[in-house]
Amino acid sequence: MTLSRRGLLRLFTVIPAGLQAAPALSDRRYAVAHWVRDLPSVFAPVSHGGPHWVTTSFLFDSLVWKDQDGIMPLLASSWESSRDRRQWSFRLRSGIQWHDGKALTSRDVAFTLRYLAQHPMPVWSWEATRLLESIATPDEQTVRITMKAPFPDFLDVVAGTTLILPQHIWRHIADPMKYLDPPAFTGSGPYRHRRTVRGEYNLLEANHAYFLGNPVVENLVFKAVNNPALALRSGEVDAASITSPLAASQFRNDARFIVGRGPFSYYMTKLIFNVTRRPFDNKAVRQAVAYALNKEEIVRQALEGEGTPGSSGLLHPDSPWFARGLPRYGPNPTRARELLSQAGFSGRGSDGIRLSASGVRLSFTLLQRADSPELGRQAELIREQLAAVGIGLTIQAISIGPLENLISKGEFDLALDGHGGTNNLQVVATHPDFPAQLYRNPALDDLYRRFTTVTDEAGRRELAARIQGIIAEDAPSIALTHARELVVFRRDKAVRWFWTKGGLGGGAPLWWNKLALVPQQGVRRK
Amino acid sequence: MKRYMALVARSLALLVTLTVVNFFLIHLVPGGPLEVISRARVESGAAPLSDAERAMFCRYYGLDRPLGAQLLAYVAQLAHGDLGYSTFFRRPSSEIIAEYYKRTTWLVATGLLVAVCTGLPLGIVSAARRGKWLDSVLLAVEMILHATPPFLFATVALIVFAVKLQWFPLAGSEAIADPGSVGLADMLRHLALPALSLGVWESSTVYYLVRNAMVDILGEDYIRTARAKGLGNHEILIRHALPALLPMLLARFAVLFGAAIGGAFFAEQVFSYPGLGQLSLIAFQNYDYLLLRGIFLVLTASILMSYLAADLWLIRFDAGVGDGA
Repeated sequence: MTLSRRGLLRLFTVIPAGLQAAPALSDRRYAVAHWVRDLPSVFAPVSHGGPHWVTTSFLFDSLVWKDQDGIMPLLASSWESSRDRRQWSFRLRSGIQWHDGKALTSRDVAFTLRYLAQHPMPVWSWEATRLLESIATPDEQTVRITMKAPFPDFLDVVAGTTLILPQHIWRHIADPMKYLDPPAFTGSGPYRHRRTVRGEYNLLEANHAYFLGNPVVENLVFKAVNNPALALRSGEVDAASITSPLAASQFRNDARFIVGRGPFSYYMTKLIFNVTRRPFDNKAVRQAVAYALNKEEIVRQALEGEGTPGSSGLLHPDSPWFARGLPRYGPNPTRARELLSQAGFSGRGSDGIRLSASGVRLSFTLLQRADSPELGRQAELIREQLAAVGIGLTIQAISIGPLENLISKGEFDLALDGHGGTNNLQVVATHPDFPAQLYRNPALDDLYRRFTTVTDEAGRRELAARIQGIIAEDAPSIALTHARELVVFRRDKAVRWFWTKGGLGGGAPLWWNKLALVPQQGVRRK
Repeated sequence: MKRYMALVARSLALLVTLTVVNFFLIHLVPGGPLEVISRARVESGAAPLSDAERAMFCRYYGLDRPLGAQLLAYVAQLAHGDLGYSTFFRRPSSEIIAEYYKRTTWLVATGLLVAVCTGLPLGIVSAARRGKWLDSVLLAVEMILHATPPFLFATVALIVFAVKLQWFPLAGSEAIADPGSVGLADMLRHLALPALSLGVWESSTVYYLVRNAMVDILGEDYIRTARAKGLGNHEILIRHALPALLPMLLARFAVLFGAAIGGAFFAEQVFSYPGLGQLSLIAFQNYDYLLLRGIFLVLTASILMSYLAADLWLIRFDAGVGDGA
């Protein structure tokens, strides 16, 4: 048998076309490029890592939630707190059902908080549950929680992040970390768990009995892709976060897509000084570096203008605790040179690097987190800008684990790293990396402690301003940039994602909010 | 039998040594699972692990014991066929590794099949036409293929066939569907691009191996004798040259297999194909020591097994390589 040239050509074109047969569910599904590594369990060790928690929140609900306007009722229809913010009462909506049809009551809420307290797990609210004094359930719709001390951030830290579990399933589970049987995914959320293929996708299906209405997408998929931009173009996913501003700009002129420009990320890139080593133990040298840097230029070049410079007080400009009027420092290379000369580095080597009288060179290694091209560009720009005032840098890019290990051990000169949560002073105040690893200031610790216990709004605001003032003056690290959050999604699909005001579950500004998929009838602001 | 036993004993000793080395190597990497948990919490805006939480997790995962005690516990686990417990997936490591290993095995097997099916005939043809225009063309093409970075080839294939033409999926190993409804055709469709990329990249290695060996074989006295006796080219190739080529190919099989596993890792990355390469990355990024150890152990055992199989095969056929190998 011989095959003609035309026949051969047809064979090669027909086979792939035949292989294009639409996969099951494709006509009724919506796929989101996402971080998918495991089952959407509340008790995953990584459940505190935002993306996993947000996936889980499509299956489970909390007492309150957030939309584009801020905190709103979810399981609770209303709430109130005592004047001292120790006691919090929530009134649940009536008629809410678990995915298995059983009624969700105040007993489930009380059970969840007690269960978390008894089974310390890496979930956000565990720390808070240790501060529980008592929980009362006077009736099926009311739960009254009393804390051991005033807890002004209860709505954000506990009510908005604790995903409520069904008591009838979990009360017999001794080790929740190992419980991954199908009932473990029974929640009250708009989606039910249908299938997880580890490393590939989580498939969820609509909960038609959801109390806020029927979800607009029948099958929701969180799909792991290594290149979200290509996955969008190939139709593999319908929505994706795009971290590279350059990649996002390529979708602007494509009518098939909507590019959503969100708020500036709470993730902050930060230049960290080793304050235990010379010469960075000298505040004047740290300030000189701050004067030498042109953050606007770094935003323009490294982030294509899609970002904002960090504050010298390290808090995000959108934070309710953000203090205005802090020193901005650079770009002021003249002042940087003056400060370096005053610090004893007035000489110059043949390569332009400043020298002290004893011949010590202002030349250092900058350790840089290797997993981000944007961070690499920022490191290059820092090197250029510091070279202009006589500071030499050698850039060394390393993985985040080793990098943070070296920083915590003090085995570095300068490091370029970052962290999130910069909108929430209560959170960052307890962070060992804030304002910088190895930096200790008892006055600052005292202010943190007072900030987390004072309930008076004006008093807290004043404390927050003083905290930021000390950080700006001491400059143990320099906040460089907050990149803009960008999302690209298909125009022809019925989903319009929005940016959650104040962020979900602890504060990250997110677009993949479950409320974008439900009609939201019945949602009323308190 | 004595030679067989010696080979098996040598492989086992190597496996034990590499297992112990792996155990300590992983601990040399700075950081640990608790740092990852703490970092993830902070990056999403939550508080980092407190000292009490750290102590609790250390106890939970058995990381509070001295390294020597952890090694002994690990060896005891292995003796019971237990690869340990994945801190990241909260499942026995063996269960997770089996899931991902299955996919890598398919990828490597299909890639090697493509490599052998293309490299073997082209290598033979090239050797048979040594010095002729066809040999020159094949040498040039294979040289270009060999010099092209595998990452580039795979990326071009991805953009052309998955993004532009959309003939093949961009990511994953199966369609999004209910369990049981994913068929062989779907699996092959997802496997096609990564396996072809891997196969084409490996095929130049096979081509060079086969061509060079075949050139040597075709210059042997017994081939010249056969030719003098009036045997045709086809008969010489099939009856005399190919049987001589087979032991050489088998001897090189373990090397090809090891290279294919390395190649599979890059293919998995480009095509988001969830195999052992991707799993290693997850385990490494999350300092999942037990899972990483399990992956290394399984990979080491697989490669050692392929070497052992090749050696045993060679001894069996007494191809003149056995003792010296």
